[in-house]
This record gives sequence, C-alpha cells and structure tokens, in this order.
Amino acid sequence: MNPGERPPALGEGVDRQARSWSAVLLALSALAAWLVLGGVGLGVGSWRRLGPGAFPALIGALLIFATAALAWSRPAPGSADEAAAASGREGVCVRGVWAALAGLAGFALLAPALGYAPAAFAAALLTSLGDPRWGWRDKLLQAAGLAALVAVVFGVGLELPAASFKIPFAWAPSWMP
Amino acid sequence: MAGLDVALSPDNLGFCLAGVALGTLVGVLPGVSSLAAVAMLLPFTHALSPITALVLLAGVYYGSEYGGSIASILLNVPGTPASAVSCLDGHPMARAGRAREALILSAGASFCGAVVGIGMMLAMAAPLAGLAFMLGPAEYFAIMLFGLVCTAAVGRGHLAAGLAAMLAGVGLAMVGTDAQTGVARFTFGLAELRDGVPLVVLAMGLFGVSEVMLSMFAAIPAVRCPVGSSGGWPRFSAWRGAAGPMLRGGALGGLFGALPGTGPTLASIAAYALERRLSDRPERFGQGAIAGLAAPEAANNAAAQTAFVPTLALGIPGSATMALILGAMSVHGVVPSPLLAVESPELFWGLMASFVIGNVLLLVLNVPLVGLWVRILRVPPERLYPFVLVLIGVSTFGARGSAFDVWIALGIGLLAYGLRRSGVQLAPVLIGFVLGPLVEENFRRALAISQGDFAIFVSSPIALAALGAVVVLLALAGYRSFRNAWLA
Repeated sequence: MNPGERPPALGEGVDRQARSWSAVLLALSALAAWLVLGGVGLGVGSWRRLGPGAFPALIGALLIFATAALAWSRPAPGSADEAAAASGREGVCVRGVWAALAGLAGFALLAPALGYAPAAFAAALLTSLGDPRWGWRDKLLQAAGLAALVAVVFGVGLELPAASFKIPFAWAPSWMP
Repeated sequence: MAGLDVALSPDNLGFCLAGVALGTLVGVLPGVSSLAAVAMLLPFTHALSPITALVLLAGVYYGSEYGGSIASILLNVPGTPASAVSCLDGHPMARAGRAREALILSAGASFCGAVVGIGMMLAMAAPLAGLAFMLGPAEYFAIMLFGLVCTAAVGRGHLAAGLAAMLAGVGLAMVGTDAQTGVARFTFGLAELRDGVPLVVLAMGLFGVSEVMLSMFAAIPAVRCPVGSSGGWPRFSAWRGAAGPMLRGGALGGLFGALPGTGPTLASIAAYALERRLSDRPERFGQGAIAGLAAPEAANNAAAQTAFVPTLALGIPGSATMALILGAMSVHGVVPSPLLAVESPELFWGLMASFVIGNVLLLVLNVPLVGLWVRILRVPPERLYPFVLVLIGVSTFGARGSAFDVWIALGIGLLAYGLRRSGVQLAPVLIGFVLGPLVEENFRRALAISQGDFAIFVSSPIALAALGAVVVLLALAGYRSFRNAWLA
C-alpha cells in the first residue's frame, strides 16, 4: 500500500485471499484433469511396458487427491503473506501485478519485431508508468539507460544470439540483423 | 592439487570472483533472490565450459548467503530467508554501535561454517562412491521419491499444498517429447513445446515474475541505515566466545545441508535454537549475543556447501537453487553420480577447490567493502524492479530467441503469484519439474526389468529404507498438518 492510499476495509483482504485460493484450486484441478485425460489418450500400456501416457495419468490422479486434500484442509488465512513479511514487505499492491504484466507483455510483443534493446526500453517504461513517485523525465531516463545497458552487456559482452536491434522495414541496411 | 590448478586458472578464478561478488550483491538487496540470479545467468553459461559455469553459479549461490547477513545486520531486513535469524542478534549489535564488529564476526563465522561444510563434503565423498554399485533404477526411483517428498513435507508449508505444488511441477515436466517412445506429449501440436518447457523459463516465471508482481509498489519500509558501519573490530574475547558456536553451527548446518528439503534456512534456525539451549545466559539472546549471530551464520554457509552433496552425487537437489544448478549440469552434459570424483576428477576437485577460493574471496571482499554494500542498500527498491523485469525478459527471450518463452514465463508467473498469495511454497514446483522426468525414467526402467513386478521396489535394503522413510515422513507431516488445521 502506498502512503496516503486507503487501507483495505475489514474483510477485504480475506475476500481477495479467498478469490486467489479458489483460482489456485481451479488451476490445480484443471492441470490434474488435463494430465489424466491427456495421459489416457496417449496410451497407458501395461505394467510390463508402460505407455507414454501412464506416468502423466498417475501424476494427474495423485494431483486430484492432493488438491482435494488441500481444499478440505485449507491452511489458515493470513499464512499467505509470510513470504512477504520475510522479505520485508508490509503488504502486496495489485498495481504491481498489472505493471509486471504490462512490462513483460510489451517486451514479448516488441522483442521479435524490434530487437530486445527497444523492447527493454518499452518494458522498463511500462513497468514504471504506474508509479506516482517518479516524474516522466526519470522514467524515460531509466528506461533509456536500461536499454543501453542491455544492448552493451548482452549484445556486445555476452554476444546473445538474438538481435538487440532490428529495423522492421524493407529499407533496413544489409548489415542490420 | 589438480583441483587447485583447475580452480586457479584465469577463467575459473575470474568467474568465481564475478559469481561471489554478484551473489553478495543479490544477497544484500532484499527482495532479489539468489534463485532468480542463478536462473537469469543460466542461459549465458552455455558458452562456458562445464566447470566454469558451475563455479560461477555456485559462487552466486553461496555468495548470497554472505550478502544476506549484511542486510539483516544493518537494516533488520533479511536479504535471504536463511539470514533472517541473523536479524535477532546482529541488528541489536548494530544498534548498539557495534555494526562493524557484527559484520566482521558474521563474515568470519560464514567463512568458518563454509570451511566446516567443505570438510564434511570431502569426508562424504568416499562413502558415497561406495554406494555407486548398489544403485539400480529401483533404488534411484526410491531415493528420488524421498527427495521429492522431503521438499514437499519438510518446512513451513502445509503438507497437501507442498504435495500439490510438487505434483504440479512433475506434471509440467511431462510436456514435451517422451524420451522412451518419441511421442509428443501435451504439446498442443506446437513445435516450441516439443522440447518441453525450458527450465529457465519456468524458474523465471515462478520466482522472478511472481516476485516482481508481489513486491512492486508494495509498502517496503524506507531504507535507512542509522547504524552505518560504525564501531571497532571484534576483540579477541569476542572471537573466543564465537569459536564454539561457529564450529557447532557449521557441523549442524553441514548435516542439514546434505538432507534434501532442509537447507540453509532450517539449519540457521536449528543452530540458533541449539546455542540458546546450551547458553548459561539465554536471556542475552535477542539483545546482541555473539553466539546468536555466529552460530546461524556458520550454519547457513555450511549448509550452502553441503547442499551440493546430494545434487552432485545422487542428482537430488535439496532446494530450488540447487535444482537450477542440477539443470545447468544437465545442459553441460555433467551426469550426477556417486563416482563423480573418480570419473570427472577435474570437475569435482576443481569445484571443491573453487569453493575454498570463493570463500576466501568473500572474506576479503566483505570486510573492506562494507561501506559499499551500505550505499547499495540505499538504492530505492522501486528503481530496482523495472531492471529485474527487463533482465527476466532478456534472459527468457535470449535463451532461444523466442517470444513464446516470454509468454509462458508470464503465464507461469501469474499462476505462481496466485500460489504465493495462497501461502503455497514454490520450491517443490521447481524441484518436481527437475526430478519428474528422472523419477519417471527410473520407474519405467525398474518395471521393465522386473516384468511389471512391483516387488522390485522393496527388494533391496536401500530402496526399502528410502520408501520406508517416505511413508514415515508423510505420516509425520500429515499428522502435523491435521493438528494445525483442525485441532489448533
């Protein structure tokens, strides 16, 4: 929570945790079902010669039991932010999720077309957009600095096989990757 | 001597220095884990020789344990989970104007613990080599199953949550081409998934992306270092008082590190509890007791060294970071074996020698550079996360030049965020992912050898003991979870 931001109302944190808990149970159940159905579809073979789907189906079945046990014996509310407390955080802000999503999605969209250095610029800028504590100049300077650093360290220093810069037009000079 | 020659070659020495320096930096900065650093470095080690790659990654791992204590002592914010215990007595020492004494004692205790841990590793090498000819597919399956259950059942987490996380990791490892039949499994017909989900992508999503999501804009206390690095050097009496706790902590940490699922965090807690119990003035613990700082520091560094024993000898990583190091070994074609010291002496002894050299470098780096680490601690955390996110993007994209990998990391990161918000530990996911294919391979081979007879899994003492330990561990952890959930 930022300074000046409204503190969560009583029960709001618990609701959010309950929603996140339900989503986790749903995701685990979907993964388990996918493994069982997919495994059976691939063929389970016999005990003498297990087919390619036998082990995934077995893991899926065990995951169904583990998820059911998890739903039955739900850990006490409040244990969620133990890791946050251990790393010095006092709470979690959902804006961080959106910032990370936007930054990484921007990177994934731009890197194949423009190269990873311009994508790094966009990712850093998108990530810092939601932060009211910085001005535009600071955000642009940091993004440009990071893009330059990435181009030098990964492109020149570590000679990463992917292109650091690309010009996505037909008139790009021949020496450009 | 051959190991020392390998470790002292210019390449290995340079990468050892780079690894321990980066590890210290990562440990100093709260919220950036050694795990994320190792994962980000992994794609860039492909061009290095196997020994150089392992020297670098191992340096980051044990260097972070040193760095973690600096943030604990000066800020009361642990840089790594294992250094959380050091806050209890290290920070009160700093507040009392004894910051320099605490930092130097901590560096000395870390060095002592690491030396004890390396000694224990060398002592374990010969007995482990004797095991090599007694291990077949059934024994490997049972031992790996024990390793998997340890990671799920030991620790702070809930048993069902740990098991579900571990099984989810094993399930994700099933994506890709089946090694025995060549059949593509769970790939949706996508060529990008034929080789499975890359380890780096999974690790980045699990620990890097979710960490940024949780920490960005979170209310991290403003970094203030009122204590600076003030005070004088420790007196002889302080070293004398710390000697016993350092040795005991080192021995205890060495034992914990070698057990899968325990690792440096539990080692440091156990060492602190032991010293408090042995002390004739337990009331001083929590108020700047030297033993309360020295013992956990020695323990977590000893554990960081002996954690390599099950990984190198049996291919069982005791922690998520060791799982990544096991992944790096696999990428470089290094097969874990109890006979590693005999079959690849240059690699094994070179790595051991690099541990000694790395710990000497850490001691030399940490004492005079305390002022630099204090300045780094003042960097506002919100400036750090865009940098971390960009590194995650470049590491995942750069490994195969594929934006698809970045999307997978993003999806896994979202799932990991939900898991962490629900109190589910993530280390079992990664360890399950790394061990899953090996467990499957040995399970299928054992059944093929026995013509489908399950008695093969209880026909040897080693397999029987490992499976018995699995049952006992599950029963104990199940009882603990039941008691906490329903009888509390």
